[in-house]
Amino acid sequence: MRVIIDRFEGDYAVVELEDRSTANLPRSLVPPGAKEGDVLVIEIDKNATKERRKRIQRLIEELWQE
Amino acid sequence: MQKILQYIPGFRSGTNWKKIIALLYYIFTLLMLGAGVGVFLFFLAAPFFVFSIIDLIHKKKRAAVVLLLSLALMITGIAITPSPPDDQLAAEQPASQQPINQPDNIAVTENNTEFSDNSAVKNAPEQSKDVEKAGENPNKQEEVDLSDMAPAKDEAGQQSQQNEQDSSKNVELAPVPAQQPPEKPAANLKVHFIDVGQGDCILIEDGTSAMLIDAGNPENGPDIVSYIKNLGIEKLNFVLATHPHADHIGGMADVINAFDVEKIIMPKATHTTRTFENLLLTIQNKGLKITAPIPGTEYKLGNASFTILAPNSSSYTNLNDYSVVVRLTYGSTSFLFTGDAEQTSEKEILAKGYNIKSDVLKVGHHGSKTSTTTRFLDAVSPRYAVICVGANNQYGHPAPETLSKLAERGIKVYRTDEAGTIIATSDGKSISFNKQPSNISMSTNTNTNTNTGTAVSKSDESSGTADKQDKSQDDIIVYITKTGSKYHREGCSSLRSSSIPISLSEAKQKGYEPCKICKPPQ
Repeated sequence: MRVIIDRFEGDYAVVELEDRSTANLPRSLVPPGAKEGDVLVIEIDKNATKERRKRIQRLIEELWQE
Repeated sequence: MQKILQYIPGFRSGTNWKKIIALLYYIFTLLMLGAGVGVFLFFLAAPFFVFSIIDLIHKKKRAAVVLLLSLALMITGIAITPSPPDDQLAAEQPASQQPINQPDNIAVTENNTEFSDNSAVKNAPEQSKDVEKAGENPNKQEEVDLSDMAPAKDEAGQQSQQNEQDSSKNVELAPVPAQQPPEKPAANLKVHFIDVGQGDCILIEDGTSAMLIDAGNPENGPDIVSYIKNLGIEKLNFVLATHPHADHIGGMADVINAFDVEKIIMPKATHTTRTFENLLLTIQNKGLKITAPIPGTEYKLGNASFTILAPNSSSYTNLNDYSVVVRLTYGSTSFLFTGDAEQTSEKEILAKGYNIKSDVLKVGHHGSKTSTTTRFLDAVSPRYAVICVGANNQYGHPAPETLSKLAERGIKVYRTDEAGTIIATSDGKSISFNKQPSNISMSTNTNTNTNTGTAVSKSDESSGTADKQDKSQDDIIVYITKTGSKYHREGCSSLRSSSIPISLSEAKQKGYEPCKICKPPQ
């Protein structure tokens, strides 16, 4: 999904969604250095997700007795 | 009686079906009075003319006299037909229908001229042809002319209505000669600060001319269009987009599609959003061009005029500073519209030494603290300030600092989040408002939303008309479509073509009903 930074207002970046509506994105979620007009890509990182799942699974297997 | 009737085509033989046709024709002729005396005369004389030719061939008595008389009447009719529309054109401001209307009238008169030209031919062999034509024509001609004239008549009706409207306005306004100094305009200028929630939308109109500054958010488009249409406005002399942010240009494509637009003024600033692209494409599709704002340029808007004061640089880091700033004067009253211009632009305006002193200040950038610097405010020194801002917006607009600056100076503040749409009326000497000013000591914004940990929250942009009583419903987001009257759950099959998020309370307030298929929360 791609969103476009329309402007910054207060603590938010106002981003334009694909249907041209707008939503507030807290500045903490906006990559540092992003400017008005920048296109942000919001996507699922499948590899990172898999990595995380493995990691936690290992912990779980160590900790559960059964 | 019998004697008179024997001269009137249709009643001469006393045959019933002829009488009926003749009667219908004469009623039609009478109706033609609505399209002008000339048209009426033409149609009245036509049957006399046609039948006198036939009579002439049958060598009846007095046929030649009737022929000449009716010919004279028809020519008189034709001669006076084109003049009334011309007079109207000159008397009226070029209204939008006129160009459409005029060709119609011309077509009618051209037909007439053709007809009379043909009949004016006195050449004997040709004449017999004419007679043939004329002989078979009456019915046909009537049909054709009926269909031709019907729209013309309607338009004429509209015209006279318009004239009535205009003249009634003129009575109220008293026509202002062009030379008269603008200190004494007779009409009232109205500035509508239209409530679009968190965004700007300002309509300036005096009954004959109109200008729109900004058009709120994308979802506000249809409401803005109907607001303007409800005022009877069909043409916008100016459409001004202060800068390309979505809360200022959002509904502008809808506006440009819906109205006859004369001049579009926009800063030549680039933005990458679809909203901006859509606006540019709409302008392109309509075959319009955009005028870049050049500071110092003055434009006339009816009896008012406005001067461009910003932007004064060609590039800024913040799109807000591209904002077109205009000062509007009407008689001895003045308004300053600042868009979202921030301190950088304010400084430049001050440095240029423009006269910015104004009775009404549209407070820059929804009252945020990055605008309305002390020096700028003191140079404007307004009596009234208007803040276009959305109720419970999450951006902290207007800033408490700005509100206290205004309060300290005794400036009366009007806010769209509190009062809804605000209309300021100027009679050229003084300005009145249709709403009560804000009570600043009470309304200092303590509502700055500190709860930033709530991940992505839908913005409150269009909350304007809502007095948010029901907080819980505010947090529930439902979806509406561009044209439908129902609201839906996310993912409802009805949302395939368009899906516009909206808070539940707002959806209900705008009259949307729950979808029966997806059964969204109520």
